[in-house]
Amino acid sequence: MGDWMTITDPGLSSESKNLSQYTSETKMSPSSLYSQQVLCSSIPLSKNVHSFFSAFCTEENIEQSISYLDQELTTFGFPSLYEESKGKETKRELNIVAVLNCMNELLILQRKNLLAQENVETQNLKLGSDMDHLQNCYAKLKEQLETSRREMIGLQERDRQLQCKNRNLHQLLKNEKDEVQKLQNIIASRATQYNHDMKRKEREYNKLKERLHQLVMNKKDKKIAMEVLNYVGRADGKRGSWRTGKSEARNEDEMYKILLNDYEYRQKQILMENAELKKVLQQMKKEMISLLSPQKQKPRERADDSTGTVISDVEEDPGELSRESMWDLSCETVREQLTNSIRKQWRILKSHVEKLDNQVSKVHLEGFNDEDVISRQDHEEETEKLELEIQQCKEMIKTQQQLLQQLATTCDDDTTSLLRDCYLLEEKERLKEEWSLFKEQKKNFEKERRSFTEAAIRLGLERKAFEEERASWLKQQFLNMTTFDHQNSENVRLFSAFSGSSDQDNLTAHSRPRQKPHGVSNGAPVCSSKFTKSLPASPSTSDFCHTRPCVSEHSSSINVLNVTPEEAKPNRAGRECASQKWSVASRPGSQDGCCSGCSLTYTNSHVEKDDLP
Amino acid sequence: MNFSEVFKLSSQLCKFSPDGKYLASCVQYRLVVRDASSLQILQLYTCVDQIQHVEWSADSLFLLCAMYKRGLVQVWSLEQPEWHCRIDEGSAGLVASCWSPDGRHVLNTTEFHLRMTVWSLCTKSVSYIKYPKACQQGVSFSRDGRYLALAERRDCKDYVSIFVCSDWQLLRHFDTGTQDLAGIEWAPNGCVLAVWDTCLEYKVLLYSLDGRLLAAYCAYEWSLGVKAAAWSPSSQFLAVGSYDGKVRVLNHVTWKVLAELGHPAAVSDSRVVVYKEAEKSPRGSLGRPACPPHRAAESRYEVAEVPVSLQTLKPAADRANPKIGIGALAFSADSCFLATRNDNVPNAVWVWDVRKLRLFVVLEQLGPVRAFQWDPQQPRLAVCTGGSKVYLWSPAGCVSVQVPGEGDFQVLSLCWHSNGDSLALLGKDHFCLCFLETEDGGGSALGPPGSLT
Repeated sequence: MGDWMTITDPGLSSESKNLSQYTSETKMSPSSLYSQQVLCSSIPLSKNVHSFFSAFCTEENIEQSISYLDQELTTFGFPSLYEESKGKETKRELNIVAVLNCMNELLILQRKNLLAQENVETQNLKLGSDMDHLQNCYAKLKEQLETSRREMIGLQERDRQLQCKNRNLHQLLKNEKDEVQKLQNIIASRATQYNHDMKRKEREYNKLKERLHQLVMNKKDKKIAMEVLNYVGRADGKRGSWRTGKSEARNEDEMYKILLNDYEYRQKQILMENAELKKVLQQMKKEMISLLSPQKQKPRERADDSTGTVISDVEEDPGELSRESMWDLSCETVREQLTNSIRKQWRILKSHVEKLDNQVSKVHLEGFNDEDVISRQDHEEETEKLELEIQQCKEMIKTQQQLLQQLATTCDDDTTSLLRDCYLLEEKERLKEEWSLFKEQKKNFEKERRSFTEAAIRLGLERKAFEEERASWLKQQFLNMTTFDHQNSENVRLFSAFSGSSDQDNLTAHSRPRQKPHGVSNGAPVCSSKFTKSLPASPSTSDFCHTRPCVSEHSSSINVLNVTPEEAKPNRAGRECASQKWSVASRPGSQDGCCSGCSLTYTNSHVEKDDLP
Repeated sequence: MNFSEVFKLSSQLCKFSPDGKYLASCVQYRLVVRDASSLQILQLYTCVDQIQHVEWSADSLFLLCAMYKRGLVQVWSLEQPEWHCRIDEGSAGLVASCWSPDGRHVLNTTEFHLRMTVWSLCTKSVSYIKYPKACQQGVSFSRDGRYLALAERRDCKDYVSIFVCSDWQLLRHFDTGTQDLAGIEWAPNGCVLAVWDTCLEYKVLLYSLDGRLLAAYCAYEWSLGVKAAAWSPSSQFLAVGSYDGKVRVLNHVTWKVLAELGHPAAVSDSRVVVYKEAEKSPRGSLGRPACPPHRAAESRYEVAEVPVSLQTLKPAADRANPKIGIGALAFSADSCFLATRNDNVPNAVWVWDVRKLRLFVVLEQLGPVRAFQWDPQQPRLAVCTGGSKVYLWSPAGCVSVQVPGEGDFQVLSLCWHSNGDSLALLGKDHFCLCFLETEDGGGSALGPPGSLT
């Protein structure tokens, strides 16, 4: 089909081309001719008018020419050149006015016509150039069409060739397949034939062998013999035994014994392997539990069902713990339980690790704008506040000292003091007492302040250490679990050494929101410091037999922990409000800056002091 | 590393006694027994004809010398030099002779494999076993010496008979599902018998001692099959080398393939160390062709950069026994390594790490590898290529050692002493002993790899 098409196409196209050329020529020719005609005719027309008219009308034929013109003009719709005839037979007369009118009209007409002609000519020219352009375009497009057609033909040809090739290849493939099939058949038939022949030959061979055997063996071959100087004893020192049914049975027994031994040995090996694997599983489980339990303090807030399962799992743990010996029984239910719980734990761990990963990436994304930094900010704020407080306290102390000094000087040199001596002494005594009290208080306060700043620093350090430890421990734990390498306490160090700060940050970030809800921001460090004390005990224990008790211990300690912030809170809150009162109380004194204010501050401080310790 | 002087030898017949005390060697019709350490001649026996086979009894008390041409076996006692025994198979002829594991019976196979004769040295009894099969490896004693498995052929079918060696009683007799059985071999624990079919068909069968079929394995069809098989000393693995150039390692629990170890000529794994033997030529490349060395130049190993392509041999496809496939394989004594040779890469020895089941080391020699054997005590492989050098490999590295002595000593074969301290190097007409010092010898024989390369 394709071939046909391609063959017929060029003819068609050429034909159509010719045709189009022809039409274009025909189209072109009239217009050009016309324009030429117009051009030619217009010029001589104006020139030859007179001669023409002179030739047309002579002296003799004026009448005829007038009548002729009249006729002509009337046919063209002009009014008659003659006057309206009054009578029938009277000769019509030439109406000069009409003639002039006609002439004028004719001239106007002529001018109009000329204008129109000009217009038409210009339009014609325009159209002609348009035509030329279009023709050019047409020719170009035609060429393009031609080339693309040629291209198409080429491509079709190639396609056809490829198809041809493909067909050939298919054919070849088929042939090859056939060949392979044939060869396989041949091989198979040859094989059967060969086997058959082999069998035949072998039978013959066997027959020959049999015959040979008879010939060689049956003849009393004197040569077949053994010459021994003297018979030697058996290697085991025993004498040879007769072949009896008994010995046969014994051999059987022995054989089965050997087989049994082998199987027993293998069973033992498998049991050992099993036990070891079970141990590993158990360890893994325990580790997972211990690993997962730290995050169990806040599952209620999270309302995460996965952590919920952890809790339920841990809750049932003590029961399993007591049945530790059951592991060795390789009971199926136990096994199932173990594998199930391991699976569960593993899933949780996985999700946890994924979460951690997510957080790590988040932390990396957000830079260090995380809660960790916020906590640091908190810390800084706290210290700032404390410093401010200290400053205020110092100021207050200074003013008080000044006031006291003023008081003392006024008391000393004033003679009026004698007058008031009676009660001034009393007051002085009281003031002195108060002064000492105040000093003591100040000392206490200083001490407290120092201890608090120390504690704050220590807390910061401790927390950092804890976070580091926790990160490393988590990581190590996880790695341990994956590598089944538990006893390497060195690993702990190793991993902590190379666990990056990102983990740490991530961990701190993770631990942070948990602690937040438990009270004031100050409560958090307390909580974490407790953590540092309780945590390392459980995870880094190398003896895993104790991990479970540790876990329970740990969980209990966590419970305690949960309480501690609350316990710490009132204290802190009380202290805080107290200090606030202090600052408030001191202010009026400082603002007043007079003796009366002094007593006021004193009393205030005195009052405050009572509830402070 | 010390070498003894060179002694005469014929037909490469040189054997250490199983207890390691003696060394027996044959020179024409004479049998020489030496002390294995001092190499002093302890005994000298004279046989009636050229010895073609020599074998120690398991208790190292007797020596068997077979003269197949004469159909004769002579047995000598080490303790009583005057004691002798002569077994004549007469017109039946003799093609093979071996000891039973108790060292008191001699098993002779007659010509055309008509029968096997079991001669007892304790009593004057003779037993016959009919229809032994003529095949590559038709006789196999279990390692503990209790059982003999024998391949038989009757009525165009393969059978295996298991005999109790103590009284030659038939314990089991079963037919194997093979077309043309080619070999049998006991697992070292003596409980499993591996049976493989002829090279025309890939088939490995595993039978229990009581004749049950444990497993059958077939890797592929329509192609040449098993060429060699070897058990690991732990009985855990059965390595099967085949004509497709692969070793398949079967495990002893499920008898399924653990690993397929291919032997491509191009080694691309960067973890594999390729030791390439290189000739040391102090004269330079120009002087060498001008005066061909009388003695082979010394050589050393170089660690080749890892994408290495090994020299391959184009096998003649139209000949029988084509030089392709895994023709030799052996596990080290601790079952940790497996050494193999691919016959169309004749210059290379592959050493596989069995614990990781991957290629560990490739040794590429200058000549085709003739033989290799593992040290019976430690993972140490001795290789010879028919040249005047012996090559040793251990995980620490490998060395090429020139055998000293005048003339051309071509090491065609080698065998280890049972304690791994010495190595007998067998040439065409001579042999010598190579002593590897144990105290500091480990260092000198196979020092750290850095010093060797």
